[in-house]
Amino acid sequence: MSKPQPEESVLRALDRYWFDKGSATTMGVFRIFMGTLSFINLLLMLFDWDAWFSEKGFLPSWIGAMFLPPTIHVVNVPFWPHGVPISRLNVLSGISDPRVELAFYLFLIVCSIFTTIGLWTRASSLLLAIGMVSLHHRDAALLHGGDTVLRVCILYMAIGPFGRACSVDRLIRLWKGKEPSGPVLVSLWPQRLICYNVALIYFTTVWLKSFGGLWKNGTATWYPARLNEFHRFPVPDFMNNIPMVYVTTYGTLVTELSLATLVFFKPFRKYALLGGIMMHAFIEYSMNIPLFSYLMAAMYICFYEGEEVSGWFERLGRRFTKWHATIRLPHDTRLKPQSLAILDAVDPFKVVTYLPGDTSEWGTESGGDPMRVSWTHSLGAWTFGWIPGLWRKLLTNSIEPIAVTEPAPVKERVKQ
Amino acid sequence: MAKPERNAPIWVKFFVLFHVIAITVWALPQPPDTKKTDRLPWYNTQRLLVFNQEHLHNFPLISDYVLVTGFWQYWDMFAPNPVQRDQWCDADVVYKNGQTKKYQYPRIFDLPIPTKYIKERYRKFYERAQDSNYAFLWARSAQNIALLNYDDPNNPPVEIRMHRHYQWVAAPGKLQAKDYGDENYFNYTVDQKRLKAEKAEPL
Repeated sequence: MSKPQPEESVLRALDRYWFDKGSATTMGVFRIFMGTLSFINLLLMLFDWDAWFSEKGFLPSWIGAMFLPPTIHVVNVPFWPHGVPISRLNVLSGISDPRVELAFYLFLIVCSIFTTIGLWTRASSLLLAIGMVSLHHRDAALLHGGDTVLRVCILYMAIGPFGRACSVDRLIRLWKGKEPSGPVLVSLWPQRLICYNVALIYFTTVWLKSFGGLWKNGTATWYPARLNEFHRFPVPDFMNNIPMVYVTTYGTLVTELSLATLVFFKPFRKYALLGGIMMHAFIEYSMNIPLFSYLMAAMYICFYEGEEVSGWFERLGRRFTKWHATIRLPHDTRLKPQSLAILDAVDPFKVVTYLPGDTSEWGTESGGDPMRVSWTHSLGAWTFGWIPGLWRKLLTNSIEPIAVTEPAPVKERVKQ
Repeated sequence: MAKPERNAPIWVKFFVLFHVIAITVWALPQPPDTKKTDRLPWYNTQRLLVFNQEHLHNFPLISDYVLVTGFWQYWDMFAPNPVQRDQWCDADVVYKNGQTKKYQYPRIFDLPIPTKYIKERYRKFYERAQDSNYAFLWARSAQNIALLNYDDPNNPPVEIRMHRHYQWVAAPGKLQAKDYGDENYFNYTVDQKRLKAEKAEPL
């Protein structure tokens, strides 16, 4: 993102904030978080698939349609006998064969895996979004706040370039030489939309809470803590007693309001997000609301620029010296430029160093199989490095002989 | 002088602006009492919420956009007040021979911690399904409970009696009730033809 200019108009500053280009790393990390959470979400519901998605469960499709009518309204069009219905996106509409529904559900799980690793990201995230929206429109009676967060985030991933960084797609593009190494720059509007949506969530919930007497009198958190159906892990007694209830009630409001406002100002950003993480960690620990806290916390990363996220990884990598590894290339070889870019891209912590070797084999200074050491130390390679033979093939194809421009005189070569 | 490179196409900018307006209009809270707002001063925010509710929220372009695409959202977790009623459900399953069996709809409190995470949907569904505004869910739920308890073709379930168990959380300093209230809120005569047909289905 370009730097603010003195005497810049508000409109120009807003335009710069929303649309200027920056590193796509944050969006890539966000995609990994959300893809993983959508996979877990789908897996959790799979345990009770019969109850929620089959035609003989609690929510057959016709009941779902009564709960949330598929057609929003009908637009009258001249010469069109019954008008044009405006319907909610639902590819499951009219399907009542459980085998088709199950196949669709399993297909969505595959899409969530592909979205997570960033393989065919455009298509997989779009299909995941269409599928998830369809599921939600079919079974709206089941949805909680976390589902809405997940759906909205998946929709953002479907419309933005979330596969440009931290993805298998990126590695393929580097391998084919279609993209230069270094950070990928994209217009940051999808990331900004997520930030705005986070702020909107907290702002509107605080506004709605301002109408509630229990939030005003400071006792709101007293009640959920006593609902047995929400109970999860035990909480020390003092946390649920006055005056701690006042602290947690008003603390919640202050934290939520700061997550809607102060979070946009860099000096306060870290503290606002830390407050949010602490609040959601407490909710996750004490209350049984699956994935909600993880989803909210995962959105926080969008408040950081891609360069900042890359910087974290590198600083973290420098701290974990035990994790550092040096791989020796076979002698008289070097890494091809695109291979160098790939190995750099799969190693966000920058802990693996590739140096020229003096034997004909690959080597490692820490001992062990150099191929294995290489991929296990490169976080990005975990997605595919375990596939037998693949990483070995990639590494052996990634080197080229060093071209000797002026052959040494014969005598000297003998001496050597 | 070279023209500066555009950071994003103009249509993207219009889309983003429209999207921001649409989700904001849709997510703004519903005003608590629309009738009293006439008496409020002009700067009171509730007037804004009433205006939003009456003029913007259902503006076709906005509502169609959020409802069709799935961008609809409304954030009311623990708001305006947190839930103050703990509740769970069970049912009496009456068989053809007159025998009665208790069916426990998954009660999250009784489940082991990992299972709670998986079964939470049952609590959420029941939170809505017990509401009389959604009474159309009751018959199907009862029919499904009959199916889950149908083992002997000669002795099928013939009636399901749904029970709601509830307990209000008392305010701080007040005496907390220990027992749950029990209300038989729905009785259902099992559709035998459907029961047999559903039992025969593979999935």
